[in-house]
Amino acid sequence: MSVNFFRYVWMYSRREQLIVLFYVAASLPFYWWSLDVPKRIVNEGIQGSVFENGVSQARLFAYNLSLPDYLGGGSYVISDGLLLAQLPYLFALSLVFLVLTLINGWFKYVINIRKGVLGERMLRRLRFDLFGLVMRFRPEDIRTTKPAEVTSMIKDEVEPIGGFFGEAFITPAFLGTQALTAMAFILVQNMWLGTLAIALILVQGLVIPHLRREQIRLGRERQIESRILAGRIGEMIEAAPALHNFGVTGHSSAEIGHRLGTLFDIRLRLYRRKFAVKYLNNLLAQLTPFVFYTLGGYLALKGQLDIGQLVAVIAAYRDLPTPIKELIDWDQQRADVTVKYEQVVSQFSKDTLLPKETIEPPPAVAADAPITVVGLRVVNGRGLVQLDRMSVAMDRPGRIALAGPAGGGRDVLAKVIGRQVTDYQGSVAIDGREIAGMSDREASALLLYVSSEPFIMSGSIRDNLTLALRRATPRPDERAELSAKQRYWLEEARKTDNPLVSPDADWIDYAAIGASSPAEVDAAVSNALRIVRGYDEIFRVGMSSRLGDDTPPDTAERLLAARPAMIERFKERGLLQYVEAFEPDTFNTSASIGENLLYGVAVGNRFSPENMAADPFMRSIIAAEALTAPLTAIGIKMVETVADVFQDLAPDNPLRERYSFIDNAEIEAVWPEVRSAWNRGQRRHLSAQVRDKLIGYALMYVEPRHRLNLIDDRLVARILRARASFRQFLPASDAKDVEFYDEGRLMPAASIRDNLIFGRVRYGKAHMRDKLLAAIAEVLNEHGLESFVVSKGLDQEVGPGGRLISVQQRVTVQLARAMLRRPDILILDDALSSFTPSEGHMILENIMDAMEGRTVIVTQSGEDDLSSFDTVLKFEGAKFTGLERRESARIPSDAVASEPATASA
Amino acid sequence: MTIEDEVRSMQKFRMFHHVEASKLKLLAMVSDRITFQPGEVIYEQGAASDAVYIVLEGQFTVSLRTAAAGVINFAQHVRGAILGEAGVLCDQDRMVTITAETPVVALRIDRDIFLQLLKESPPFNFAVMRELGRQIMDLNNICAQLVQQLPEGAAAADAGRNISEPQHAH
Repeated sequence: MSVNFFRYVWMYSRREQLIVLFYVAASLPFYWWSLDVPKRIVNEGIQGSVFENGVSQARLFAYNLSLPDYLGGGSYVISDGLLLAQLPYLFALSLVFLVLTLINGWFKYVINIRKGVLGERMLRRLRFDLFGLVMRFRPEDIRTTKPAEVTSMIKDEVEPIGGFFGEAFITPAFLGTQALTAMAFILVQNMWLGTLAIALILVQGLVIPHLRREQIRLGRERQIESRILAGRIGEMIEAAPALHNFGVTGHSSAEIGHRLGTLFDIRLRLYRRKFAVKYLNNLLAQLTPFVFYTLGGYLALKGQLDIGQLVAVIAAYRDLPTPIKELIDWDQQRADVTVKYEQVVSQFSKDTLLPKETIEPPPAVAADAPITVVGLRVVNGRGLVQLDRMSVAMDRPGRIALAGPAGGGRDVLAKVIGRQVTDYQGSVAIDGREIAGMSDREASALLLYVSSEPFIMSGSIRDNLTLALRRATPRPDERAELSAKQRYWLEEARKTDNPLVSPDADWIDYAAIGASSPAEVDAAVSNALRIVRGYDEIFRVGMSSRLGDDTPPDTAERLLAARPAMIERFKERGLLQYVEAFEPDTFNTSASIGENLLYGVAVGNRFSPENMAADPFMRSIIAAEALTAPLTAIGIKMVETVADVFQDLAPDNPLRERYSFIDNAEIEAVWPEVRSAWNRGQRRHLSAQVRDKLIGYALMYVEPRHRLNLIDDRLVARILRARASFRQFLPASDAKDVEFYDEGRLMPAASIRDNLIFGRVRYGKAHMRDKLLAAIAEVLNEHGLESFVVSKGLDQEVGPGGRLISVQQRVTVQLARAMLRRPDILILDDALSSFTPSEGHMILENIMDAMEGRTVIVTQSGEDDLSSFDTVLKFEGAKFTGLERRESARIPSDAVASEPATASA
Repeated sequence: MTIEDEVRSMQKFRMFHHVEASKLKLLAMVSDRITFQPGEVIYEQGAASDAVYIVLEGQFTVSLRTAAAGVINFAQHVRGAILGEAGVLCDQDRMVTITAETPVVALRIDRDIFLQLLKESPPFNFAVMRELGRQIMDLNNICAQLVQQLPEGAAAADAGRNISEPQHAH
């Protein structure tokens, strides 16, 4: 990328810049005329200089083309013009002026538009180039880069540069020629006035940039300072949990406060400068007309200048400061932007970048070529030796353990082979190809590195898993009929060297997993999940995810068919008593009072558990069935219990979980009022707000869960009546807010599990939930619904950085992603550390079985069971202490066994 | 049976003598009441220690599946016992199987909740410690009696040797 701003601009926008310059040149004659016409309006049209001496008609629009004398001096009449009286003459000239104004405006418009488009295109290119550069940073450089700083550079800092792309050549050309035209015009009118104007402009042009130099320096300081601020804020937000943990938010706030202070100071100085310069500028601009009026007026009175000329000069001069000022602005912007540009570009220029991505398929690497390490030594940035000089050859395929204490050489070697460390001495090569020199495409076809820090992007679990497969680079279909919009889209991408293929195209590399359709990808995904023992988890997630509206009809049918089958299965297993089915005329004790009232699933927010109590319709039903008082009493009892038992616990104590719907802050607000009302024995005096809250709590009450003995038969009878009237009187227009339980229909708003059980699992039984779930899984399987449920589970959103799923789920996703790819060489660098040892071991065994005939490199501690590996590289600290080959290996390769080990230093 | 009843029955237990009622109420509020039919397994040897049980009513048997000698039923207990706390505290899988002998009513406290409760309430913490201490004393007593019964020259018992059935990969 060019470090010189103007070279960069010229290189990529030459053609467009020239087109706009052509427009600029074309606009100049009209500009001149628009200056000239006012003079003629005053002199000829109003003062009537051409109508003197009794001439009643004058000729207008007569154009003769006269050749200069040295070309023969001939004269050609282009147009005879029109003979007009004074008044029409004036009108005609004014009309000409109007037309010229319009033409000038049109030129300005076209030039501005072209300029803007040009700028936007260049901005797109610049941003894409910068992003491309970041993507080519070496892993070491990436680690020291603050994402927020890069983001602020790509997003915000280049923005003003983008605005300047269009101006880089055009503005000086446009304004400069305009100013020159105006100057020339003034000079032609009167030598003296012209010289004077030039002198004043020169003063402006010399003094102001000088004053602005400091302004530019401050601007740069501001840029750097705010970039650091962005970086620090980003860091602190990421570290917020740790900061809270140590109670050091005060210190970090102080730091941010200080930085904001510095920024404020810089900005303040900047403003003072800016307005001082502006003041001076305005003063000079105002001074000139003063000179013109006095001197020009004097000359006019003396008869050396006619009034028309004076008006024209003043008009021309009025136009002059704008281009001049803008030119000065441009110059300042130029200085500013080039500095910014160089600043940003230098941040993105590293000495070594990864090689550019190629589209050609990489050369094939022999499947049994060993990984040869010769004289490898890794020293970190501070000169600390992380891996001492070592040489070894690792046969492929093989199961290779890098054994040693964590944090030592074993981790470094894993990272070197996994291309996480590319700054090393010596050589690590496979089939003669150096690992650090491979392009992504080449390396990723061969090896895959998995660390203990899973990398999860926002999107669904499926998106994250298939991320590994999105490398097919679909070719744009040339024959396809493109709509105008698509053509425009493609054209713009081509103009800025952006990728031509849409991210929405099918990037999945089906061939890599031997699949041919998305459905088969799901099968491969399930398989990969089974290997890393994450399948059941996803199935569970699928079971508890919302059914949704877009269930295919045949699946919906099967789901409905599964319902009775499920009950049958429960009966067979003696599990039926542990499920309390929804029945229209029975109170479901395992469900909350609110659920019993609604007898359905809320769609949207209106009847959701936390809003239900405040809904006017719901409240009118509650009041009509005389439930207000008993529900308020239940609410009071709950608040009382919570206030009594949880009073000493912190608001976020996990022990509060069961009553988490009663917010601690709310209790503090509600409790005093409840207590005083209680003491006075006048419950009616509760405010409407408190009453709403209390009823809201009561609607969440589940007897067997909360066990406060607050539900009796009379209450049940009333609730059942309210249930009936709720359904009966619900306005038809509100029917969309509730899906009533109906044995013959699915409930899109409820989870798949609820749809199948059609009831609640009873409380008071420890292991029944698991048994019920197992039975459900079986029935689902029999009805061919398993893949549907898994597919729903894969649709689960993971949140930014995977925050919505657990740490182990993240690791599982990352491992499954690797298994989906089945690389020739898989490097597991401490990748299983978040599992318990036995679980981790089982996962590792599964992975090794699945990787049969390929190479797995695993970091292990010295104490781990290494019996399943056929090669063990031992490390102590940064030192490689020896290679051990185990005879249990399937492929005995004694010939090379001892030789590389002896070669090691 | 409500939380109030549960608190009342727990107050009668020796281990909770010094725990104030409000803490027992907290304990009851964060746990689930579970019932087991006679013969029903409360937890299985080798399963993950996911919860602690406080038996309010009923009798149960403790048994151990061994590799050599089959199943040993080695103790019978009645209400008032806390079950599974050692496994939760030591992060170990269940060492024994507990089966209900008569209908058993117990409070089930999730592992994390139990640990949180120990942190939150010193009297409760103390009660659990005392219970463990008492168990150790009982075991010492039993050990001594068993050693007395051993023939001369029998191999000494070893805490590191596990006689339970080897774990199946699950």
